Amino acid sequence: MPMISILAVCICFLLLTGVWVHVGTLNLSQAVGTEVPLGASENPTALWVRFENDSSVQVSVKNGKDLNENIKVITIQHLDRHVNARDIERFAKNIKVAMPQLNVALILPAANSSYEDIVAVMDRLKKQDITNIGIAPL
Amino acid sequence: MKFNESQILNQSLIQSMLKGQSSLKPKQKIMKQFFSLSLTLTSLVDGFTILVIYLLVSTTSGTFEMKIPREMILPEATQSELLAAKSITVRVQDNKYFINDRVLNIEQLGIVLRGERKINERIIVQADKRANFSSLNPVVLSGLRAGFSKISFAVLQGERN
Repeated sequence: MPMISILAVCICFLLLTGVWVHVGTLNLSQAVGTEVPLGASENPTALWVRFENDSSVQVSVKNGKDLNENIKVITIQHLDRHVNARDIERFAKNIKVAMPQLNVALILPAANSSYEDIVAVMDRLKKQDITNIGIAPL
Repeated sequence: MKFNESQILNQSLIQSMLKGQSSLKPKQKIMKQFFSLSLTLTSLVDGFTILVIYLLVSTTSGTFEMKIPREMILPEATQSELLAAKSITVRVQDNKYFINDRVLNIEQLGIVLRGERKINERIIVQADKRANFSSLNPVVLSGLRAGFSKISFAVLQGERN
């Protein structure tokens, strides 16, 4: 009996002190062919995030008729060879104030864009309730 | 120091199970209470630890598991979701594509994904955070050609602010 207790306590200790790595996913909604989801307009207002080769990004709002021309396009310079995700989030936040219904984004990566940068941008956009994100293949 | 036979016998008797058994059923009232208390405590510890193990196992087994190679570092994201059922994982490592540890070239990847479309509705792309998009692009393209509209990127769950 004491042996079982010691073993059980050991297992508990190992389970509690072990590092648990939680793997999750960031989901994309890709359009296949010419399909348009039911109830969605054909050209919804969307945020386009175009990656350049030097990790700077051009963020623009497509089909945003009510939006001021001055805030429709912005170029965000890279930060230590990585995408400046914080500034992208700030821009998305400002756009969401003007257009709360905006929830579509399209990411256009460059060939040398890192997976980490793409995920960082997706994460920041989802944080601003832009949940319908697609990625354009090269 | 030398032990004689009686000393050795006495010592072994003290440490033996027989002696322990007899001490578990003491005739004195105080000793009886002490041993019954220690026995209850042992059972309680056992019961408690089994309960903790059960709770730990049952709370972590609700999600699907994903095998990640040791040398692969996934990017971190705070807005991640749980791994979905009915999904197929494509691992991109050193510009090679793996499905269930089977190496595939781009053509084979397309064929396998077309077959998997009947069973699964989502592709999970697993790659190192330093990987370029050019190495992930064939998976996205093959997935779209196979008819997958749901593609996910595997990430490590970060803490939400």
